[in-house]
Amino acid sequence: MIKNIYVISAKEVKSFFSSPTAFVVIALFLVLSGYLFNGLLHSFFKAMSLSNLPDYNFTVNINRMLLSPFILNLSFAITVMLPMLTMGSFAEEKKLSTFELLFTSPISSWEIVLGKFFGILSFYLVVLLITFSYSVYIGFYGEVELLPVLVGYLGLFLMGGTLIAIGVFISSTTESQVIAAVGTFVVFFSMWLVKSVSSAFGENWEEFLLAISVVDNLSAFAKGIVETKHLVFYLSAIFFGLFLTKTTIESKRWRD
Amino acid sequence: MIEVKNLSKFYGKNKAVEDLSFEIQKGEIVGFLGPNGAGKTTTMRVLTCFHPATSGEARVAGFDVFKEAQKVKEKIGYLPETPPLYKEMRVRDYLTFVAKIKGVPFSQVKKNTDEVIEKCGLQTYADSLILKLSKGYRQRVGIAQALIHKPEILILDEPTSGLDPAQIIEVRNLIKSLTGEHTILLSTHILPEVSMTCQKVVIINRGKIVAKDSLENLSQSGGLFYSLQIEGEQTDALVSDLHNLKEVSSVDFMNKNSLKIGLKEDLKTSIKIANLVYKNGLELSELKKETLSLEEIFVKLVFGDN
Repeated sequence: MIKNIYVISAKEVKSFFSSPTAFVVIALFLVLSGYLFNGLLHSFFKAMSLSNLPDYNFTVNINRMLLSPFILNLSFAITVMLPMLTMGSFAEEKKLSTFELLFTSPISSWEIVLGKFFGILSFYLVVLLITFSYSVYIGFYGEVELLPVLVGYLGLFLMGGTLIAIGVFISSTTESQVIAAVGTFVVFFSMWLVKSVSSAFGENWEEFLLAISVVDNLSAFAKGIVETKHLVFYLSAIFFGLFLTKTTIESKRWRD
Repeated sequence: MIEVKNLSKFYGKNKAVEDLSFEIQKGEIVGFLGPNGAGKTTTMRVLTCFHPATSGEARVAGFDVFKEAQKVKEKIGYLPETPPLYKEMRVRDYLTFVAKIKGVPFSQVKKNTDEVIEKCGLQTYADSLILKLSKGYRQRVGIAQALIHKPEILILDEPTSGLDPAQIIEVRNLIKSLTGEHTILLSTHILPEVSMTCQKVVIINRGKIVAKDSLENLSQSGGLFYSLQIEGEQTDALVSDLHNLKEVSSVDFMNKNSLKIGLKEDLKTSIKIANLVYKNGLELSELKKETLSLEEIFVKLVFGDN
């Protein structure tokens, strides 16, 4: 079981590096996250110089004013990056007859789905952790509490996992990488939209929409708080996405 | 080794195969023959556990393809119509990956990979990207992939389609060299391929079996006949003499000097025929025993007698 999942994951990660995908994704993500960090750093410096003026009386806090917003902003860069990793996962297999290879091998559908998922997830985790160096670096110059930052990264990890599960599912519904990519972008961005338009639907709906917003569930993590309901949300969303994927690829075999 | 009983598969309302039954013994090479769209690929996909059947039963190596799919998959090497290749991988990496998902123990992966690379003549290209290979070599990688876990049964879906004549011969020889170690079911719509590689054929058309037999029996089922070429004018007496032979079932003129003599059975009939020719004062220029070619049988079975 574990062995098969590992084999599929390893192949998935390798395939990122045998095409330009890995390099494009890493470059794009680092440029974007660097840009976002730079922007926040500038406003942080501004706030710092203001806090020294006699009229303003507040203390600056690196965690609250720089690192926590950075984690929230990173979720945007992640939303842009992940469709590029998930789009090919099943669409490409379905287009080539490698789908037949996988399904005529003595491995189960779950092993295939989990293999793909963990492969993409581990690549994502490595790329994500590169940005953790920013916080460590800032730690040399000011007082940084690393534990809340780590909790924020746990949130990003879970949010990424959810998006990957959804992306893999969308990829499993089509044979075209382009359709998979566009579809995934549309779905991911509507998840962002849900947050901003939620207030327009009245109080009950707002509460519901925020509860299912992939992004809004991150905000507690970004503050360094682990709440069970958010953990449950992400983990069940991941399971749901993967379950749909498994069902979709199995149904393909019944239909044509 | 493979038993198929009353197998049917429908895609929605379209029937792909209907009420198929056949058996393949251990060590046989069986050609699965039929025009395009006859249901060959569908049947193979059912046997490889890719598609579930609508009704009926199929057992491979004693295991049910639906209930014991995992076990069946371990026993089968399968080459789909388009070889299932990850084009951005190198040949050796690809084969290593396939070996692992086919359940070859990690300690043996390298050994098996080296073996199939040698068997399929891929040594020169072992470290090339698959996308750089020619079609013939990709097909070899496809076959190597099917062999990697040393399966008892090989299922090859049109292994030579789309190759040039030289490549076709290479692939055929490769398949022939696998005889003995594996039970092979291979589909094709190219007839000479079957006579060159297989011992037995299953012919299907529109989802139904129209013939299943050994090649020998099949070609004899079309009937034995002699083609006779003679020199001379007076042939009427010869024809009536031929009709009087008890083995002869029919005598037809193909043209003025050549006859086709159908036989019920062959009991040194050639001598009798030759004697009759001389007795009637004619000269014998050719007498040849013939059976129907596979092509003729195929056309007869698939498209009817006309």
